[in-house]
Amino acid sequence: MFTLGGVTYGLLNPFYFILAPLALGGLLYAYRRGGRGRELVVSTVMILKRLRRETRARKKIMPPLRFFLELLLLLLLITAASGLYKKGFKENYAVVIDNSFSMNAHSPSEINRSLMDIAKRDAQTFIGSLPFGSGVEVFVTTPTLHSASDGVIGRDKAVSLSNNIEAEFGPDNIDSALNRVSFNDSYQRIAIFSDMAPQNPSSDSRFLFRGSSDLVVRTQNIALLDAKVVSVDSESKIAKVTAKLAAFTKDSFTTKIRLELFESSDGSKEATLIKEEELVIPAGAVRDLSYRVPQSFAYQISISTSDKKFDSITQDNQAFLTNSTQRNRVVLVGAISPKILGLDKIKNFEFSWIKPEEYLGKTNSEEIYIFHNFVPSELPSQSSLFVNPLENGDFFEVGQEYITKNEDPLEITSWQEADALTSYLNLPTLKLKTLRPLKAKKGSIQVIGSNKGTVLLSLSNQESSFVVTGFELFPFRGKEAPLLSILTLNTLKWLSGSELKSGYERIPFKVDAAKIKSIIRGGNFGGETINSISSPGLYLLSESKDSLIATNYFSESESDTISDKKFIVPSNKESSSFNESAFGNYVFEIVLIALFLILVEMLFSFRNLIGKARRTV
Amino acid sequence: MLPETFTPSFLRQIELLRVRSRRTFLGARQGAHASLRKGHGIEFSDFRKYELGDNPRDIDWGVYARSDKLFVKRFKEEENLSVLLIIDGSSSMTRAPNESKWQSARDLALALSYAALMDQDTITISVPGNYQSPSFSGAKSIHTIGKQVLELKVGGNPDMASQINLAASRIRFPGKAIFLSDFLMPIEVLEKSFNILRAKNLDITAIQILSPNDFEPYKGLENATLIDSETEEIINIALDSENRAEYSELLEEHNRKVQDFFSAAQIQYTIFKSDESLLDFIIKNLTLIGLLKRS
Repeated sequence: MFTLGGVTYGLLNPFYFILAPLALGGLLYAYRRGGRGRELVVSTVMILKRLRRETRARKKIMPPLRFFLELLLLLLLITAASGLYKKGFKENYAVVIDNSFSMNAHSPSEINRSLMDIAKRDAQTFIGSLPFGSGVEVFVTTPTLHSASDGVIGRDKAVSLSNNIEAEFGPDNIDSALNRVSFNDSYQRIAIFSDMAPQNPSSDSRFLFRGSSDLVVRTQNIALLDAKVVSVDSESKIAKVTAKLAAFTKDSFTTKIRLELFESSDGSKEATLIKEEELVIPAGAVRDLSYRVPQSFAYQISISTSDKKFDSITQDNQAFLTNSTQRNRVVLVGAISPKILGLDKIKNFEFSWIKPEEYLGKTNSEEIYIFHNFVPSELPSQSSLFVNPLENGDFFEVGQEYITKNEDPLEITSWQEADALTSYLNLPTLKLKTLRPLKAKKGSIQVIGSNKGTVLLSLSNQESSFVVTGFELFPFRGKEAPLLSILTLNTLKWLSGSELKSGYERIPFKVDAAKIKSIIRGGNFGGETINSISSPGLYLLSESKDSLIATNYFSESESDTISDKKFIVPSNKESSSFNESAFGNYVFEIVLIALFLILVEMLFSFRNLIGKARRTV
Repeated sequence: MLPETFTPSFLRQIELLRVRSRRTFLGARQGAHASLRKGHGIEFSDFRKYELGDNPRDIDWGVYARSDKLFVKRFKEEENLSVLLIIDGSSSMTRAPNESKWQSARDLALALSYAALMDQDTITISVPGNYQSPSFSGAKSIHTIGKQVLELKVGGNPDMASQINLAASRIRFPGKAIFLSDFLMPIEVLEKSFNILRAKNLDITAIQILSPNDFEPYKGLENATLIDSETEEIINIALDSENRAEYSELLEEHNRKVQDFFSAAQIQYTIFKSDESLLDFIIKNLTLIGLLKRS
């Protein structure tokens, strides 16, 4: 693809353009040879031999005008053969590949192949079966839905690009991903390749659930779902390490648990095995493990089983811990407990609860505050989320409550597309039953607006950030209410300053790649462009006080390979007719120009013939 | 079988012409040309003394009355003329795009043959390296000659001098020799070939036939790979205006040398362009140089 005058063009058969230098070379050769390629018979060369051989014309550096005309003609024909078109393809297809953590599972039918490999193979087969001239945009769902191809590309490129897709340490976002993709009318079909099956039929006929049955066959798996250093007794130098082991199996099995200890903060010493035991785990059991271990810089817990059929995903068999491993702390100030509000489902935040009357206005600098239906008299110094405030705050005003009516529905009308709070949200589908319209003050900005007023606003200063929702955000219901859940997580992520790449299950660290001195165990990082650690491991950072960093990925839903997984197919869109004008093939126009040039070329020749005839007569 | 251009009106025009020789030759039979042989012609030749056995009707009685001696009057015999037509059938005359030269030479030869045959002359046609005909006489022979010439497979690059020598060796009665060629050959070869004919004491006429392509090769083309039609020699040549002008000068120089030789050797010479009208050329040019005359 190339851009000219702001318009992007492409070639259906770019390999034809290798003929361009050949054409130029051939034409130059023909002109340099001066017609030697055409052999003509004369009565005798006896006299002609006495003439000088080389022409002055051939010695000229500048070829005649006719040369350029013929060159242009050749280039036009090559361009036509190459299939020049304006950006856009005859038919556009979206290919959504689920690259969530669960796709790491081994295929039950194919040795040494993961579900990810099968999904890629099926996707490539699908892409290969598309009509010639089709464009494909390849999406991956994890860590968030994004286009892996940066727009619509040709089939061959899409096949090649899909080879590079790998499963990530993150959850699937199929529901929201399909919602977002379905809003693009330009896709003729949307093909999904996932280990999940559609829960409902869709009225949107564009959806195709392609892929072999191997993708949705359930397997068995064991996983570590949590691990932490609970406490350290500085006197006895004994630490307590806990872990949660889950068996997503149909039968009981024996697993070996290993606990290793890292004695040096820089990984210079080998890890020491301090505990190894075998446990018999019943089918479907969840075991809490607890160990008292010598205080040290870091630990690694690993589980394994001799029977591989019980361990479909090996990437969730270890956890890395340091003494500093702890989760973000969130203080909920409200009348309802975090458990009732569903906040305990958010695993990488540790919630504590204070009732409004117990709130003293003193906040801990390491904590985030959620004020649920409550507004303190003074703006807290820490980052805070105000959920459905009942009265005015320091930087916002609350209007009268509006209750949605059928004849006058509440509709989202505007939002800040680039704002981190609205990332991955299909906001037009947000349906609110009630709203207390907000009014921004003191530099706060409207992030989401509706026909009834501001829905969500935010304020950010050097020390802290604040978010206010004019509606009830809780309870947190995870996938049952994906839009509100994502909004909650986006908000907590933004307030905590964490650069979470995706859902709440992971413990990421945004870190300058240059600061990663070495990887002690496991681990990987996205490189300078991503600047974040992208897989669990123990990392040694060169400029950090706590130089050892442990990251983990725990996800019950992703490690659970035995339960049936379903996703909701959006049905709000009907299949729309494809806009044929998006495909601008210029072959016809180019051929017309080429024919015109051939005519001019013929006139050149004809003029010479006329001249010859006149003189002869 | 004659070419399509040989229409009845064309033939009627040719019938009015006869081949003319600048010298007298012995003929094979009675004809319309003065012969070296003395006989019963109408043109007076000389006197000689009466010898026993002479026909008394030849005695010039007037001389006898004045000199009291018997003399008999002698007259020139009128005999036919042997005409040898040599047509250059080499590739330079026959290979495209110069095949018009061969067609012109062939048609011209047939027209001359027809004129000669109509005048009771004997015709022998030689295409060096390709064909040697027997002697033809009588007007009806033109069809045989036409058939044989039209069906000739010509071409190649014969050794002109040796082939001419071969044709000349078959001449029984010296007479007229007409050589039709483009004469685009080295002057030395030309001289050698014609000297063979001259040694046979023939009255020679050379008709040079050139095509437009000989005068201006491949007009409009600036550069070309040119192949010699006879030797297959290939040259890459520029055909720009400068070279074309130079070529015209060189061709003119060659033709001048050819003409100088013919002039010195008392050979009749004329040039025919293959795109000209054949009849006009025959009637105007050939009568002008004295090869033909109206009867």
